[in-house]
Amino acid sequence: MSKFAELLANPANRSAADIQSDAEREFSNRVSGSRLVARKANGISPSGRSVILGVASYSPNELQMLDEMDASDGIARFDVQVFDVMNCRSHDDFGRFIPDAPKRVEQSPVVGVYEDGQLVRFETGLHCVRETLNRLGLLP
Amino acid sequence: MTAGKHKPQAAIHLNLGGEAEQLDCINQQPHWADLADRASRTGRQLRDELIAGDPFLFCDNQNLPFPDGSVDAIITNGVPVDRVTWLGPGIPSSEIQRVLKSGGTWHHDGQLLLTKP
Repeated sequence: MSKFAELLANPANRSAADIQSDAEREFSNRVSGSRLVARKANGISPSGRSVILGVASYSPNELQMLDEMDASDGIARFDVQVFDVMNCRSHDDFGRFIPDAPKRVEQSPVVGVYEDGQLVRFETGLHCVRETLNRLGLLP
Repeated sequence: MTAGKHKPQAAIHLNLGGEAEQLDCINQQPHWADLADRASRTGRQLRDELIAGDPFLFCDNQNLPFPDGSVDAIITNGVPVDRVTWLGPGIPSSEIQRVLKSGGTWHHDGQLLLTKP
């Protein structure tokens, strides 16, 4: 199984822009090959206990975090959906992926935790998102 | 007559989009950010990193306030290069090339991408 972090491997010393563009293009295929589910930008709140996670496909740390989640036993207990924040062209776009998200998102990654269709927690930044996922048992 | 003092210029190492995750760098953040913002990696306020001794520069990354050929080394970690995100344009590689000295290096995500001729 190919890892998310491998999307940014650059053994041929290609330009950073090319590597990042390829990673963005390949991201959805990598999700399809994982235990994670692709989040659609439909503005619909998920039901049950759900987590929606947005990561930057240009960030090694955030892709590494996806690999950790994919390997975690915890994802069986949640509906976990993921998206690439590069699909957001404005702050408003985050609301289409994470309904009821705050109007401004200043950094990635982003996570929304839902219970019965209600957004109960929203965090941004690697440290705070990892803390949230850890508490939910979604990181090994 | 007292001879004037001459201080050798310290090497300039610039971490574009930096959050003080690397030692001995000037950490460049966008002009709209400020010291109350939290570093993504640590959750600490940038102010705390500054107090701990890590310098920050808040400026437009499209037009870095350095003369041509004046920077010894540039580091970029997990930032968009020549891409546009919801926050606006990322780091332009043309600016990196412009400000680097001849022989200066650019490391991106830990990999040497450029030694300027």
